[in-house]
Amino acid sequence: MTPMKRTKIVADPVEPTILITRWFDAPPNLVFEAASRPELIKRWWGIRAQQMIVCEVDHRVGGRWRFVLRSPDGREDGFRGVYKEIVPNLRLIQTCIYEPFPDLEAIETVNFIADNGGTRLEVFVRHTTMQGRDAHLGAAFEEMHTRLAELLVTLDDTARSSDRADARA
Amino acid sequence: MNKSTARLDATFSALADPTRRAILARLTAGEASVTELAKPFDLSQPAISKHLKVLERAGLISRGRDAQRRPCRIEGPALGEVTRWLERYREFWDESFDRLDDVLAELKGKQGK
Repeated sequence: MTPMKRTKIVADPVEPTILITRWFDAPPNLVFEAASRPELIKRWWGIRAQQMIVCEVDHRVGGRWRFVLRSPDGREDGFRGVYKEIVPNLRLIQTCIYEPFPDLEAIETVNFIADNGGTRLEVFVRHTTMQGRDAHLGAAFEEMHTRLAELLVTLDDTARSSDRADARA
Repeated sequence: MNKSTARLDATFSALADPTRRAILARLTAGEASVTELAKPFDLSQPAISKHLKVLERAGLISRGRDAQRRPCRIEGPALGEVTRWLERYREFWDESFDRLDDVLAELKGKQGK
């Protein structure tokens, strides 16, 4: 049976790590190629509504990479890092910084594992602190305020029902 | 300013801090005491306590009655919000990987010729 093409994401509750796993119906050498060549990376990295306007890839150990995604509202998000280890068709290790948080550097280990005639891609992200990880998870890919606005609508009802607790405090 | 608006302001500023969001993320895995929270975050207990007060005031967490331990637990709406961060992160990767499927299908086609 062909494995499900479902993305599995595990954010560890105690360690500042995230593990992303997904199966692809193509051999490791092709998945590695798609993750290494800028003209291919810019066709898939990011959601459809975003356009990759910068895709710089110096694909060698010590080489730098930088991606910039532009959203329909004109917002631009930059990501950059350095390649630390490159084992063709098997593994990439790179640092990653989301540019609004230049002090929060994560290390990403990407494994390309032959599995059921295809490839299981594993992206293991390690941050130095939980705060760093959370900023990456929570703020990197969307407009914080939209989400907060949605939450506040929900909380408005809760706030009303728990005003009793406020009065006691 | 009415009470409800004040509460929303408290929630808004409580969530604006990455340490407090991380504490909430940790509490999705189960309740924890101040000591247990201080350890993985590499913060002093007073520093953690300060963050917990802000979260509690915003109604995002509650503290147990056990005087010694006073375990913290996440409150319903906050739990939903933490889950939502993960959902948005998942959306990013889901959609990226769907697009990668298309690129790979094309590469396979070229290789097959």
